[in-house]
Amino acid sequence: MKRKGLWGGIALCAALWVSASGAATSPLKATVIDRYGNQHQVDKFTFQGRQDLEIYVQGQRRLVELVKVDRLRFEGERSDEEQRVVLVFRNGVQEAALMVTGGSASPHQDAVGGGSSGRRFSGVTELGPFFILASDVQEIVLRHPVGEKPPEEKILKATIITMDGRRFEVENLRYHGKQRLDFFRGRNKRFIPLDKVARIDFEDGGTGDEFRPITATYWSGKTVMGTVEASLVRLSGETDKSYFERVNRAFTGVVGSSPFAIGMHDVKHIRFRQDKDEESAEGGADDTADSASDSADDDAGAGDSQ
Amino acid sequence: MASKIEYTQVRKWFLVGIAAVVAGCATTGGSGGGGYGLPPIPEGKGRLMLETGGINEVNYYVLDGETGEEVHSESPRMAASSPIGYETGYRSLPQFVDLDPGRYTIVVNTDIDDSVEKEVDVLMGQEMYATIPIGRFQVIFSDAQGRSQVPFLIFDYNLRTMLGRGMTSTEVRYFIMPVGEYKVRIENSPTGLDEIRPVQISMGQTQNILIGPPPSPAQPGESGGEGDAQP
Repeated sequence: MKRKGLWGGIALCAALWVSASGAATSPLKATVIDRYGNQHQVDKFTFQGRQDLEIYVQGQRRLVELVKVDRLRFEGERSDEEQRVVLVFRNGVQEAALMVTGGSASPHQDAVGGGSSGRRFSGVTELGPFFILASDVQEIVLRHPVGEKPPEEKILKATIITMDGRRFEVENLRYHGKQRLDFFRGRNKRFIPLDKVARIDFEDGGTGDEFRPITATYWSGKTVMGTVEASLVRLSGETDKSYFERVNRAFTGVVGSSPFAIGMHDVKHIRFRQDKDEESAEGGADDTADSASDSADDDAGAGDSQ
Repeated sequence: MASKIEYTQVRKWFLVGIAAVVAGCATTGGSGGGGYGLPPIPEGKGRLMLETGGINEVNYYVLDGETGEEVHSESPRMAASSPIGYETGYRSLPQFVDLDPGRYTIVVNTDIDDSVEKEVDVLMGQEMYATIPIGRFQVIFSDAQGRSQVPFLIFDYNLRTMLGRGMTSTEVRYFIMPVGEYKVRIENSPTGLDEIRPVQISMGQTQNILIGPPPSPAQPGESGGEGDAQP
């Protein structure tokens, strides 16, 4: 009888543990070092309630998942509304970026129920709930589980062929700073993970069309069809810079050592390369040859001008 | 004898009718249904519930964690830029889906380019809550005729990147975004209007942005002066 009760208790504890672990809001743990040098050991670590950071790398907005970050160092002053930050990723890559930290900005009077700046890191310490304004932080060291592999961040390599037949060999290809392509299936928005796709074909849209049909073929053979936004219309309220970026910088990357950007309206075809295919791709590059005469010199120059 | 048989048959049909009525009353609806409260979790499944800070209607879909295939989707909301979108009414229950046990990725589409993703483990017979860090705001644009429909743009906080567009409504209409700070811009060249307003999105909180008409001219008998400053 006693043994039955014991097993029952163990089963109950196990059930509670499982449900509690499932209910955790954020699994991230971090050591936060403030501007006075104090260290705070924080669990359930988030920024603005999210597990990603909004940063600007070479002027382009990018959302970085905290689970990929090893440490983050703020190099600005407390009063700066925007600070230079240095991110060290778990795979060893180091990147400098800009991040809006708020400085002395206060919330707008229209905000109902919001009484404080939202730009803060929060979590739980042994002493209870914890939060700190981003402008008060000097450094953050994320504490990931020992032995856990960091999420893979592939450097995507692809061949882009434009509507007028030019060809570019692009590295680190991104769509609006992300390694995924947003598209619409009917009125539902979906995404295609670019690291799982072998090729994307862009159909011809009519002149002035806001959307272009696409067909994406995965490495697994699966085919997905949908439409992507390719509007050239300037919207009321858009600044010159944001209009230019939206229209001409849908896909970005690097060609040789030069930055590359191209608009959605100008792409005809994208073919991705897997690492193991690299050698064969180099040898057999001639077979596609629809515009092989556009060599690297042409590519680099035109890439900047897109 | 014949009357007894007839009586027995009538009684039988009467009892069958009562049983049918009782069974009809006791039947609960589906997940969208007209029953009270949540229906029980089907056998062999677990329940994934969306915790969205009081927003009970979002467009979302669920991907299988292993295969990446879409296993469920709901899109009750219109696009932010659609002129016919408005809040359809009160919904008391949060959105949920019953799934086979396993790991899933839930993707919630917002009214800007950024979606919110969450990985969840669904356990058999249990309700799992996925907390989605989103909030909402409303732009109320009024001109001399009252509230009207005007397109606007949603930018990131430092106005570098356009993240989405919307359309104000004459009805109540909220725009859903990931928590964070943004800016909204309404530019109307014919009237010379150009307003840029900051938006602070917090989970479970609402921000109303009021953009009103220019100060009305002073009526006879009223003291002339500056109109009220717009918020």
